Amino acid sequence: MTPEQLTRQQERVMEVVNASFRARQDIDRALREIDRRALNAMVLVKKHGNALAGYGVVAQAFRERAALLRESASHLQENIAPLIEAQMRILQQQRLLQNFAQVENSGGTNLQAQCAGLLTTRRAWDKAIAAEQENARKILRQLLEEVRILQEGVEEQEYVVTSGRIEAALVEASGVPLMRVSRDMGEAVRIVARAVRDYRQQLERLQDESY
Amino acid sequence: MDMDILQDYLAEARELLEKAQEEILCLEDRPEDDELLASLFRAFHTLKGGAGFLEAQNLVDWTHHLEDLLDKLRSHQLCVSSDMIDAILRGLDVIDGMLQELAQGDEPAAGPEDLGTRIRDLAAGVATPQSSPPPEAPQQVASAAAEPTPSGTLYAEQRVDEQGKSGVYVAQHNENSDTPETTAGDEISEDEFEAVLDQLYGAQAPGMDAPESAADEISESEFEAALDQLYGLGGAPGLPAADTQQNHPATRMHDVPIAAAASPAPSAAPAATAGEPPKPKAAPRTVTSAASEVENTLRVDAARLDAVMNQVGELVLLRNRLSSAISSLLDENEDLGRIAREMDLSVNDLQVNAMRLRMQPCKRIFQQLPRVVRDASRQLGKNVQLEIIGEEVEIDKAVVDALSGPMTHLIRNSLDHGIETPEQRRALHKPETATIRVAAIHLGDRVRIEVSDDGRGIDRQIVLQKAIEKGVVSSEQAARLSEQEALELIFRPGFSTKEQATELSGRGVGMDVVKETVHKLRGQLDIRTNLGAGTTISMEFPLTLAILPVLYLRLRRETYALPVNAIESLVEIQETRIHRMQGRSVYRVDDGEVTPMIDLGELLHGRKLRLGREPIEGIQTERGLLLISEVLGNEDSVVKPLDFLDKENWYQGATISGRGNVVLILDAQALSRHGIERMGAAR
Amino acid sequence: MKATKVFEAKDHRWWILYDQEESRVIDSNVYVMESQGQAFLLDPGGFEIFPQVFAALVEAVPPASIQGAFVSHQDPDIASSLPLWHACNPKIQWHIPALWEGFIRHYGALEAPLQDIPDAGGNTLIGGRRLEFIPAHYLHSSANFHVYDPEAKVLFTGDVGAALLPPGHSAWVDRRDVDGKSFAAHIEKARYFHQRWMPSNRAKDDWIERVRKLEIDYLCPQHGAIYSGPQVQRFLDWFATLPVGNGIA
Repeated sequence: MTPEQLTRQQERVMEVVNASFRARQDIDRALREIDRRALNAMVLVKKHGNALAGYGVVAQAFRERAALLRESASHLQENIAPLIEAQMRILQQQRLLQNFAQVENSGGTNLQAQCAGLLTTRRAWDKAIAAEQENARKILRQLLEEVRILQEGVEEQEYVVTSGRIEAALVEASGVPLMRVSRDMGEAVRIVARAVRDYRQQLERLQDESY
Repeated sequence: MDMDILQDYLAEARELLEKAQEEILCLEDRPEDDELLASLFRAFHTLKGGAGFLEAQNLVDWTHHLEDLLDKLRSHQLCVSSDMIDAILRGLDVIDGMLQELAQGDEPAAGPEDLGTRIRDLAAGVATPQSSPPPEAPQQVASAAAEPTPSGTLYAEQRVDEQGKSGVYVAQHNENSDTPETTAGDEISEDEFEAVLDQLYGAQAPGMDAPESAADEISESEFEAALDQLYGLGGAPGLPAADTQQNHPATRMHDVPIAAAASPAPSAAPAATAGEPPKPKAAPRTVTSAASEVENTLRVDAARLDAVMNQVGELVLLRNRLSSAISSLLDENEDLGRIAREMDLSVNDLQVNAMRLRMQPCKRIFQQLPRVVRDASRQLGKNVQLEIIGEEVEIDKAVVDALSGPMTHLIRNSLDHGIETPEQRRALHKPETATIRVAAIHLGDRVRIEVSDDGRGIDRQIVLQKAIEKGVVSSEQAARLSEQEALELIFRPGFSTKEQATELSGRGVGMDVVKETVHKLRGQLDIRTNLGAGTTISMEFPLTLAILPVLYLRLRRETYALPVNAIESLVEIQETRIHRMQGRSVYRVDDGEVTPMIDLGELLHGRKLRLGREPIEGIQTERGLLLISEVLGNEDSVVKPLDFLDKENWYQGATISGRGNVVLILDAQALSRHGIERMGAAR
Repeated sequence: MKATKVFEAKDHRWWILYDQEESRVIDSNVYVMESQGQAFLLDPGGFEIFPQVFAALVEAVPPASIQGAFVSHQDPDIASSLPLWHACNPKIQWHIPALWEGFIRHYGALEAPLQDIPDAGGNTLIGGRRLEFIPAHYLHSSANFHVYDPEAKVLFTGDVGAALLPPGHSAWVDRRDVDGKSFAAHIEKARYFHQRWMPSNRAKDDWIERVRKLEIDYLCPQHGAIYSGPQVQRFLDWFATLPVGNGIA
């Protein structure tokens, strides 16, 4: 890999790292928001007794889904750190390799004869990098799988929001602002959906470009 | 004295008394209403009969005078006058006193001599000059009996005695209840009763010439004999008819053992009339119109009902814990989840039904009020019309039990302080007759009870002055109070804008007691006033006190619960929305309004929550924004009372969370009140 | 490694990255100060632990937000990761003791922007907040600085306060230590380190005198755990009476 390629790849990794951070923050905040919206809806429903029981079921489902989403989001987090660590180990090894390249360049053709051990070591490091890269690819695949599960969860959540809208329309006469509550829930879900989608694109780009 | 019989009688008598009072007040408007007169007469008659059975001679004598007077009115020998109504009402008070004495196990003392004489004179036509109305033949007094009620409706009402021994009646109303087969053993339907009477008297209608009227009029002795016969025989509806076929009613009557009349079988019907010696008097024939209302009624001891409620409460708590425990297993076993959900629904239904057992119509709170208004308005020389709305709205028994004192106070207060004299009202171009409106309104899982008047309203400045004079607040504190807070000073102990001067307000119940009662019933008290236009005091109660939906919240490491009904919404705290106004921290909510902020960290832990350094969330309540660490979730909880805390605290009880921990339930109103004071005082 | 908050007030935070997984090299703490979205690294650690430090850092702040870094002295456990950080984010400004510049570049950071701190100390601004570089020469390195955040009342002390703790240790010296028992137990794990690595009693006394004038809520060493609240005073008192430089005894 040329130094330029190396730098390019390094930049891409850093983009993913920074995107991971943002995605995690956005998802956390939006999930917390979803949870609060759901609780808010449940409180509203409880305040109005049995009249809004139907919406209560929706709000409950919404909150449970939010909890599931948080759980899958946390699985996602668990895999981000190993990916970053793997990428940084690659960086570490490449750094050493770069030093070697300098030695090789300066040592000329005699190097092999003068210091056979160097080449063996270099080969070992190449292998280490290859293994590390394979490992990173594996983590990345897993990470993409986690993102897919998260997206599925978000889709289900969107479905719950739609049911909520229908329920809210049915009990609109009660004067309880459930339509607004539903809209707020929908907005919170959209934020998660967007954050997850962006993150997925980021990861896919890393997958496409570097390997 | 057989205590069971006494208790039965007392409960019955109280009911009769309440009903009688109501009817007398109606009589004022409809003095010619035969149905009312007949019903009143029956009431005194039944009261007397029972008293005789219990050998309470003074009560017998007293009710006898009243019965006599009513008999004359009923037969139109006398005309109803407002003097008479006064006398009868006061007579009722005397009976009430006597019943209390009986309840305490005492022999009732003789009634007041002067009132007794007065009633006798009235009955004799001495006091009131007779305008001798044309002797009119009595009409068929009661049309087809009680109003039809929806079939299959559960109806519960409580009947109390002075010792707090109370029973709750649960009735199943049935439209088809006139068929003998469907009626309960203890009761008879009107039709049955008529059939019995017909069989008893057939063609030999005593003292009457026309066959039609024969059915309408019977002598009292015959009537009583019939009653004895009916009830003495254990109440099997078919039996008396068989017996009376002997055609010797009078002799048969005496064969009935008296003790049998007091059969211990719980009965809402007048069970004690058997002791009354027969007297020849006319009586209406539709005595059972009242009885038909309690068809399919089971009399249940309130203590048993409470036990059921407690058990349901425990079940709810266990359900919560089970749900919480199961939720962690759901991944492994879907069946378990399904069963848990079904159980959930089932327990919810059980909860709802058990709750309904405790529900009673607000009528039981309101029925005393016409009398209160009548007495007080006459005494104060004010013209007041009482409007009652929503008598049929049902609410938890505990609220019904506890609210009559406060309601009376509110009405008296309104009459005494709120409503102007007719002259003043005239001068203000207001209708001379003031209106006090009492309403029960059903709002989802809450019931609001409102007392409003169109009087002069409450002047906040005067309230403030008075509060400072009385040392309820310092003038510094007073300066910081909002208008509403100033107004609410009237609920403080030690506050009274009038020097307890009048007889009306000096009854030991003050606004602080009203507040305290409402608070104990987990209600919310609110007051709105409009200077010159009137005042409304509203009390909002949960439909049931047995189950309390709460929101669990975390304050640092501790978990608390907050009743859901106190919550408007959950808020994400944004620093830019926090402002300082008049030395207080306020928060700008979405619609641009500001609300006081109450830091629960400061209030409960003595340590402020630090924004930006620890998680903070907001709970918007009606009175302010509570700052807490985190909202956790909601649950239907069961309240356990706390009795070891000071009077002044911010908890309304405790509950057991799904995880099995004891969690204190916060009192949002107390929190906002103390919180606002404390925050204000700290600066 | 784990990231945990040491201090937080609105947009101003201190983080510690601690409890490293690699036990063949000395266990080190890395600190991050964050203000208004800008971050500053303190003693970023050795080459070998860089991947895990970096992964843990992402728990706390986005790597792109790092504006500057501080290197208290020239040791490898402090500065040998410098070229890797530089590769990740070439914009990072490195504040290092002037005396050590030519040495530190040996780690393979010929290009990295190094800002020399003169012997007398200095300061820098991060996200609108000032960090002071306090001289702590001969504690233990001959050109050595600590960092003070007057707003958060955090003092980063490099090797002073260091203790050798086993894997899985806490970030804190027991914060509810009413009677000082936990402190006494902890400080035994710090004693040899201070006696052997710190060369000069005079330097120590001079440092204590200056540091006692600072308001310190958190005293943060590069190895071991953070002293907070009353533990700060306990540590200073203990250190004041400890004879150091025992390698030549």
